[in-house]
This record gives sequence, structure tokens and C-alpha cells, in this order.
Amino acid sequence: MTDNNDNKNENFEPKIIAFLCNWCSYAGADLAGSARIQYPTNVKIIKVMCSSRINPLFVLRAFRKGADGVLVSGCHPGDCHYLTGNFFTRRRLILFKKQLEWVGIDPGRFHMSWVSASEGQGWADVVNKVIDDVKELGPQDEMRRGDLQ
Amino acid sequence: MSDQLRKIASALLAEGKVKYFLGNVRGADGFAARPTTIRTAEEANELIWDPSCVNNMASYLHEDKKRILKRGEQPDTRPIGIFVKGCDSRSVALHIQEHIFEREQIHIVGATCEGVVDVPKLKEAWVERGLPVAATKTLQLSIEGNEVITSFDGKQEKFAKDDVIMQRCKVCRYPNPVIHDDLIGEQVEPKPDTYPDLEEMEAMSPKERWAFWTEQFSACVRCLACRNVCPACYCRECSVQRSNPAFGPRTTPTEKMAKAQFSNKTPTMEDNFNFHMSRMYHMTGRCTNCGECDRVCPVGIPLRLLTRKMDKDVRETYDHESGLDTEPRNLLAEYRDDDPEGGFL
Repeated sequence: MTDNNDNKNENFEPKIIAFLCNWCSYAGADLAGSARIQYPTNVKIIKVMCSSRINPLFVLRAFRKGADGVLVSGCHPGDCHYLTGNFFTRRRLILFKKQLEWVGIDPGRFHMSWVSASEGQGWADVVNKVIDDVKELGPQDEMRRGDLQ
Repeated sequence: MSDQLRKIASALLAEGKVKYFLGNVRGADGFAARPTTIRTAEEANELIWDPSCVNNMASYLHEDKKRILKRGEQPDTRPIGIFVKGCDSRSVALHIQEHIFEREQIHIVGATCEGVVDVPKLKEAWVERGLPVAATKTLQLSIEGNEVITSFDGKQEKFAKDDVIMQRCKVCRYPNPVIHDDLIGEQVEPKPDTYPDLEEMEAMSPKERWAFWTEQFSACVRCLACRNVCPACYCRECSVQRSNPAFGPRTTPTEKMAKAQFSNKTPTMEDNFNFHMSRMYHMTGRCTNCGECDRVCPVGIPLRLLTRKMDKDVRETYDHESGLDTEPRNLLAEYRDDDPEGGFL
């Protein structure tokens, strides 16, 4: 437990793992880059083919490896490249988030979002929101086993 | 109650309508019920159905799938006979929903249930009153009104029902079997649809909850009893079990992926946490809240707090409850266009 990180918080740069779907969110993040939209570099992106590829255990794994926050992002419902993938993601992650809250992981550590390929600015906004939340919470020490390089 | 069960089971076995019957007999200590496989009509006369039958017999259905036939042996296609209480019948229905068994492959003898006793608690109360343990060989149990009545050697001893029955029975909403071929007993009034056991935890902040679960999970020795007893856990390869990665030069990426190691064998708090979260997630929308995991935990982790909360979330968010009928349904394998969007940025 970390109650004493008030002084650490100022210089604390969180590590955030983002799982992005190949067709919308990753393209959105790409667009943010090519449009030269500035956003913090704390986000480490892992590209998957579809947001429904993300097993919620990946999220646990990321926390265990030392991520301070996790973001999962996919296409807007109805826009999935595989037609229905993100509908399944939606059910899984909403329930998974509630379970994380129940055992005491702060809800600010785990975020989900829909970002389409044309939303470069939207992606930057999401990232800023997530980083703000995680910075407020400080380093994640509850589940950390290793150190994320 | 035992008489009816014996009659039904021995008739089924004598006529060859079932290949074997899964039920309870009296355990060696005289208190507990021992789950067993009954193969002949004579053996069926040892069956019991009284408030000590805590076991969920649906867990033993998987064993049938694991058995390997001898060379030249023809598979026995007759149904399996099984004894179920209200809560267990939901687990059997779940098997049918998930196509593990067809409806015709199981002959369900259901019993309405007013609650089962927490055997360790009853034993404790028994010893407290200074009753002779040897007398329990002829023990008979029954529930009448608000009392658990134990009788042995012609003597009777009464215990308050709330003191000795399982926690899960105090909030049981399905005391009557949801599916059955034969029914024993009269319909029982279900308990109200509330979650009083979760209120205390819900009032806590995330930090307090984390502290609570840290204390609980740090006791876990990863014996996997909760997984083994669970009627909904029937994978042959379990994502939390493997400890010895056999990767060689010929291991394909697909195989490596299939064996991704989600929790290590180390009994640290973090891995215990991972294990219980994995288990909880895998049960989402499938758990029927039979409470067996909670009962078998050797270190007394209140696992039912996890499953009850999950049940509540699933019902509130998706109005889904598993194991209520035999229609194929699976919460996480289906969707609606208008599912709630809560929490997405």
C-alpha cells in the first residue's frame, strides 16, 4: 500500500499499457501522430487485431508486470472491422472493471474507450484523461511483481 | 426423505434406466454425507437425503467425460442418474446449457431443500453440549421450522437453524429444483431477492477493500480446492495450473500462446490475487452461486463474497442468470446492440 507518495506524485511519470485494436484505435493513434497532435509519452501501445482479442487476464498480467494503468480501446460499437467483436469486448470489460473495483483496484487504473480511425484529437484526449487519473493515484504497488522496462 | 430417494434410485438401477447414480451416503464420522457412485439397486439402500447433504453432485458429472474406454468396449449410452437439491439443479442445467451433456443424458432426481447444515459448525455445537461423539453413528437429521433436529439412539437434540445451517442457505432463492425428472418433497418458499451479505463490503472504499482482500488472499495456499469442486470448472487444461513450461525447438507460437502463463506457482499475494481474479472472471455469467468453493476452502477465504457480487453485477447489468433452464445461453458469448455503455470514455 502506498499512502506516502504525495511527494513522489509531482515527478511521477506513470507507465500505461494501452491495448489498441488494429483498425480503429491504432489508426486513430497513428492519425494523432501524423497530425502532430501533442500528447504525453507515458502510453505504451500494444496493437491487437481486435479489441475482443483482449483477454481480461492480459490486464491483470499488465498490472502484475508493473503497469500503473491500463487502457483498452477499440472501434465504436457497430463499426467493428469484424462486425461484432467489440460488442463482446463491451460485455467482458464492463464486468471485469466491476470485479477489479470489488477487490479494491481503484477504477481510475483501468480505462476503456472507443476511438475511431478519424479521431486523432479524441485519442489525445483519452490519453490525457487516463494519465491524469493515474497520476492522481500514484504508482501502482498493489500487484506489481516485476518492473516494466 | 431418504426412503423416497432410495425407492426411486433402486428402481432406476434395477430397471437399468441409468448407468449409475450419483448420490450421498453417510460418511465415516457419522455427521457428514459422502458423495458416491451407486451402481446396484442394493447399494441404493444406503443413500441418504437429509440436511447433511451439502455436496453439489453436479461436480461429479465431469468424471464421466474423463473416463477412457477400454479397447473394444462399447460406450454406455444410458443416462446418468443424479441427486440434486435446488442449488445443484442449476449447476446441472448449466451443463446442459453449455452442451456438456444433453438433457436426455442425465436423469435428475430433484429434492426441495430447506437448507443444509454446516457440518463443522454442527459438530462444534455438538461437542459444546457435551454430547457423545460415538452416538453419531446412528445420527438422523431433519429441519422443522426454525430448528435443526438431530436424533440418535431414540434421543433428540435441537439446534437453532440460523446457528448451524450454511450461510448460502440463508439467502437461497432456488430451494426447489429448476429442472427435474423426479421430485422429492414439497415446494419450499424461496428467500427474498436481496443481497444483505454484500452491504458491508459495498460501503467500503477501494483501499479498505484491498486491505480486506489482501488479508484474505494472503492466506491462500493455492490448493485449487475451489477450482476442483466447482461444477462450472471443467477445462482439462487450466490456465492457472501449469507450472512446467515444456517449450522446445518445435513448440509452435500457437502452442506457446495457448499456454500463456497467467499466474505463477509462487504463493505470493500478487499471484494469489491473480488466481482468484482469473477464477472469478472465468465464472462470470456462469456461476450458479452454489457456494461450494466457499465451503471447501481450507483456510476459510470468503469466496462467496466474490461470486455473490459477480451474480449481482451480472443480474443488474444484463439481467442474466445462468442455469435456470436448458436453453443454450452464455452471457459472454452473446450480445445485444443496446447493451449498457457504462464506463467507456
